[in-house]
Amino acid sequence: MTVLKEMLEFSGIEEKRLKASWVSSAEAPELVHEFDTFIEELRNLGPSPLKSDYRRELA
Amino acid sequence: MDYRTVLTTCTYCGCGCNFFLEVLDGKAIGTIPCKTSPVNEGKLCIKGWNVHEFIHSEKRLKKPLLRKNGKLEEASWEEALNFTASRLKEIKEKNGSDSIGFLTSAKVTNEENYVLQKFARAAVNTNNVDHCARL
Amino acid sequence: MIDSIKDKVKVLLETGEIEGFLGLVRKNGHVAPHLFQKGEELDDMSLGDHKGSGDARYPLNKYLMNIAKAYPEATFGVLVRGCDDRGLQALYTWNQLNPKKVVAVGLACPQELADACECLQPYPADITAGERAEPGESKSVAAVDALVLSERFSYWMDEFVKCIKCYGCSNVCPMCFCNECSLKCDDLVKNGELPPEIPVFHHTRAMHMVGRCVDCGLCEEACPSGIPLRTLYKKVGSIMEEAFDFKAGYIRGQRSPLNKLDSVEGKE
Repeated sequence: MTVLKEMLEFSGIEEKRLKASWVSSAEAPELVHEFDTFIEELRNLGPSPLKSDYRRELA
Repeated sequence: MDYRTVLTTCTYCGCGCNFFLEVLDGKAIGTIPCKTSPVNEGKLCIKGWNVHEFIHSEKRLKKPLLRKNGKLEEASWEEALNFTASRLKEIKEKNGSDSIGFLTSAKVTNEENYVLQKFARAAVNTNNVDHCARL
Repeated sequence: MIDSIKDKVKVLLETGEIEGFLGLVRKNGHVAPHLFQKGEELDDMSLGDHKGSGDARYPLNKYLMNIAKAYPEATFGVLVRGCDDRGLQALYTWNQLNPKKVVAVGLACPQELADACECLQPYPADITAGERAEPGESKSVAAVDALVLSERFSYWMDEFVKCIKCYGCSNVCPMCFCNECSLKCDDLVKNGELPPEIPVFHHTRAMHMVGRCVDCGLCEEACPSGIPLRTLYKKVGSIMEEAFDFKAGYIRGQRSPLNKLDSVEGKE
């Protein structure tokens, strides 16, 4: 994960868009919390640069 | 133990990239692009990188095949040549020269391609000649 | 310089210590990889300098793998520069070559080549010819690091979009020996699209180069589109160094932390 995050940052993609969390299947409220906070973080970051297909943009 | 690198030119497109065929004990096992060639400077396209594969491919024909009763069956050279010659003659007389097309291959030598196009143009009298690298 | 290499190889062949020496030869006006088996062949030996220093380098350790697989009992010699030697050390740890069956004959790279390659160790462990040069300064990675995030994104995407998916980068890489390559798997990278899905294709390869890349630079030299692959892999290698204190092939016998299942933190 360390390497992947830094490589994404180097390539111009915010490393905050990638997240790895460990949640037990018995901890349902925690899982929902993880999703909610992550979705909020992503909303604040804005649309991903990978949203559009770069290849088509150039054509 | 015989390992050698044989300088050759790619058979596919007209670019003519140079590379070395990696030959181990008589079998071509790999392709090494030639770094000192002014044409490709050590770079190859995907076709060039895999050009060594067709040499020993299992898919290569060893005998002529003739379609009998809807199925491709092995035939002798005599049978195959006679069939081809007589049918081409028939079709040429009945439907005209341009109803026949010839498809050759980038995997054969320039000399063989010359013979086929000469046959198409001089013997069958048609310009319908093309080959796999154009497809 | 070349004479010291020729002399050493001659002795190795004559004493029978090696059955063949994998090096480079001048033939037909080109520089080609060659397996020297007799002393007479050594006259036409080349060190990989054609018009400039080191411009005709080949991944000899990769070809050695092919020969060694067919003749596992035989010992072979091989010409190595700094990067080739790192390649050999890494291949030993990945069990692709047997160190007891390889005799490396070392050639140190001149300063201009070390600078061009930005090589951190432009000399092998045992030097037969050449003098140790100073490590080259890393400018290419720093140049990209200096850009703003969005500029970095467009810089890399503009480069990746030139890719023609020739697989030259992995065909020439001495560390690419996987029988089933992820880049050829339809589920990971869709077949039949040119350019391939970016940045997926190149990022996948970069992640696979983590802990493997020895910075020989042949990938960038083999890319027909001139994509600065070496810069990306150098960055990935430096991340490995900072986080896990590991650089592929620099320390003999050191296995990549990604090659181990036992240690949790990735340290020895």
